[in-house]
Formats: sequence, structure tokens, C-alpha cells
Amino acid sequence: MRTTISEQEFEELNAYLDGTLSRAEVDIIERRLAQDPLLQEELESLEKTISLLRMSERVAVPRNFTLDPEKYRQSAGNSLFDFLGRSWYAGMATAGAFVVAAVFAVALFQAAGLPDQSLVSESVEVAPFAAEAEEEAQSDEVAAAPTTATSQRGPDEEAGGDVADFADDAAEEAPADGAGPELSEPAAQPEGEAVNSTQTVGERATTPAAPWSSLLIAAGVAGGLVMLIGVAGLVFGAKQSA
Amino acid sequence: MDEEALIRAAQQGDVNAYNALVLHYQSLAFNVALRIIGEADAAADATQEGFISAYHALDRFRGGSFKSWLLRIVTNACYDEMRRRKRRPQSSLDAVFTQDDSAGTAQFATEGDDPEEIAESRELQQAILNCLQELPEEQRVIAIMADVEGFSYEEIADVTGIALGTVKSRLSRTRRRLRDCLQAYRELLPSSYRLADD
Repeated sequence: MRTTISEQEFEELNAYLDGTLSRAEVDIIERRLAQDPLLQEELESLEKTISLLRMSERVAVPRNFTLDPEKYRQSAGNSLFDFLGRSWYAGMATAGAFVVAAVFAVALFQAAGLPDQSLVSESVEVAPFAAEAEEEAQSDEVAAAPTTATSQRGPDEEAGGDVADFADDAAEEAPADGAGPELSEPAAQPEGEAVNSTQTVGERATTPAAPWSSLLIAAGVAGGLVMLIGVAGLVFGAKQSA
Repeated sequence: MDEEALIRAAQQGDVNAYNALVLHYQSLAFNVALRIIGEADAAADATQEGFISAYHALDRFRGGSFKSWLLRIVTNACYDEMRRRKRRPQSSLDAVFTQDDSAGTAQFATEGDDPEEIAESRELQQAILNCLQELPEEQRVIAIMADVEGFSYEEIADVTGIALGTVKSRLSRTRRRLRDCLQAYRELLPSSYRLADD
């Protein structure tokens, strides 16, 4: 004959006494109780234990635990910073910090030169020089025409200067007979580049760069504000609690 | 008592409304604290601390059982108080239910006139308290909630924050330990409650 019951059986007896078993489970345990004296004995001792514990009497409170209205009125939930719960302020501070960090990260990547953004920043830098390049190209064109003529006259008759030198080099490389139009090419080339780059620069500098910068600044400012409100709420809440 | 209205008013900063809630729950809170800690002064301190903490946390109460929410805070205050007291010398548990009315001695809310009856009752209460104190903290809280205060499994799970299944199995182990402990006090127990044949 066994002398103890298992933990599982004891748990079932507890559930039986606490009335948390289903009708079917009650039937099963009652059948087992009828056949098992040890289980019956354990049930009785458990019942007595619970009854004894329920004999615990309430002890009178030694004093009232009410709060002093004068002392606690200020920390009640009606101030500006109690308008939202602490968890809201914590969320705002976190979200704001995240936005600020994201904006900062994007700005850093921009500064470091991400492929797309580098084009934009390069364009922005180049833009002020576009007019200058155009001017140079125009002067090249002007210089190129006489140079061609000069080269046709011969290298010794050339005037000094960079453009003239360049035309001279080109003339040396070019075949002697059809030199005219081809000689003008090197001089004309910068013009074409300058015009093209001016157009590209103009488009890139004005279209994508400005809205992105504005958006970044706006997001950064908004994130910073939200973070500040969140932190302020937490700090004031903590002060009130203290 | 319109509890919901009082809670709403307290959340708006009405200390008097909160005090009405305190008066309603202070006996329960103090008795739970007393049985968790086992010392009247410390239980009073923990109860007071719990009510203050609950007041400051009112904005985080989002409905449900206010009693469970409050008791969870008081229970945590008890754990804090016990940790504080562990670092300092504390008075004996025997001081809780003795017949003299010195400071730190608990008085029953309802007590008869017969001195002998009072003495026996106090000894029994002390025996129960001693057995509760021998339990690990997590079992003690469950035993107090379930068998001293009569909370349901769901309420206990709500207060302690542990799963319902864990409450059931832990309560079963707790009662087994309490039964064994109370055996040692069987001469103090009323004959109908003696756990084994003498």
C-alpha cells in the first residue's frame, strides 16, 4: 500500500476543492477518492489546512493611510505634464531621438558622399562656376577661329597664349590637308561641355537638392521638438513623483 | 462607493477621492502586508508606501480591477520594505500577535471578551503567521491571497503577474508545505482542525 500521493494528484485535489475542475474531471476524481483511502485522507488534511488558513483574522489597521491633501494636491494628475501618461512621454522622447538620429545619419551620409547625393552636392558646388565656364568656352570659340586661320598660315605666325598653344598642338596632330574644320574641334569642345554641364548643373541643383534639404531640416526640427517635449514630461513627472 | 468615479476624480488630482479609496482598501492592504512581512511596523510602512506609490501611478491605471492593481503595488512595496529591513536588525515575529498592547503589536479587528479565548486565538494566528513566514516569498504571497484573503486564481495571477497555470501548481505546493508546518502546532489547533489523529 502506498504512503504518499504524487504532486500531480495533490494538484488535482486542490483544483477539486477550489472548484476549478470540469464536471467530467470531478466524476473521475470522485471515483478515485471512493477507491483510494490515502487520496481521501490527503483530501481531508488539505481541507483542514485551507479552513485553518481561512481562520486568519483581519488585524485592525494601526492608523489611517490617507494622504495629506495639502501635501499631495500639487502632484495630482491635473498638471500640464500629467496630461499624458509617463509611457507616452517616454515614447515621444524615444521617437524624437530616433528621428533626430536618422536625420543626422542622412546628413552624415550626404556629407560623406553617397552616390546620388554626391551628384547633387557636386552640382551645387559646380553651379556658381557654370557661367564662368560658359564664358571661357565662348572666349575659346572666339580664340579658336583666328587660331585656325593662323595655323593655316603656319605655326611660326601664331600669337602666344594658352588657346593659341592648344590650337597649335591640335594642328600638329591633324592631317595637313583637311586641318581647318578639325582644328576647330578641340577649341569648340570645351564650349559643348560647358553648355552641357551648365544645363545638368542647373537642373540638378534646383530640382532634387532643395526639397530634400528642407525636408531633412523640417524632420530634424520636428523630431527635436518631440524629443524635448518627451524628455520634459519625464523630468517633470519624476520631480512631481519625488 | 462608486469606485470608478472616485478613481476618475483621483486621476484628476482629487486627493479626497483617493483617500476614500484608501479608506476602503487599507484594511486589506495592511493585512496582506502584515502577513507578507510578518511585522506590524514594517507592514504599516509598506502599506503607506504602497498607497503613495499608487497615487503617483494613478495615470497608468487603465481600468480593470483596481483592487488587484493596488495590491500589486502594495506587494512590491512589501518586497522593498523587506529588502530594507534585511539590512537592519528587526524585531521578532513573536511580537506581532502577543497579548500586551505595546507598540508594534497587531490588534484584531474583532475580538471577544474571554481572555482565554483571546489568548488561544492569538496563538493560532501566530502559528499561521509563522508557517506563512517559513514559505518562500513567491509562495507566501499566493497562500495569503488564496487562502487568507480568498482571492480567485485569476485575481492572484493579476496581482502577482504570473500565469494562471503557475498559480495553480504553486498554490498546490504551498498548501502542502503549510499543512506540514501546521502539523507542528497541532496542540494549538481546535480539535476539528487537527490535521492528524492524536
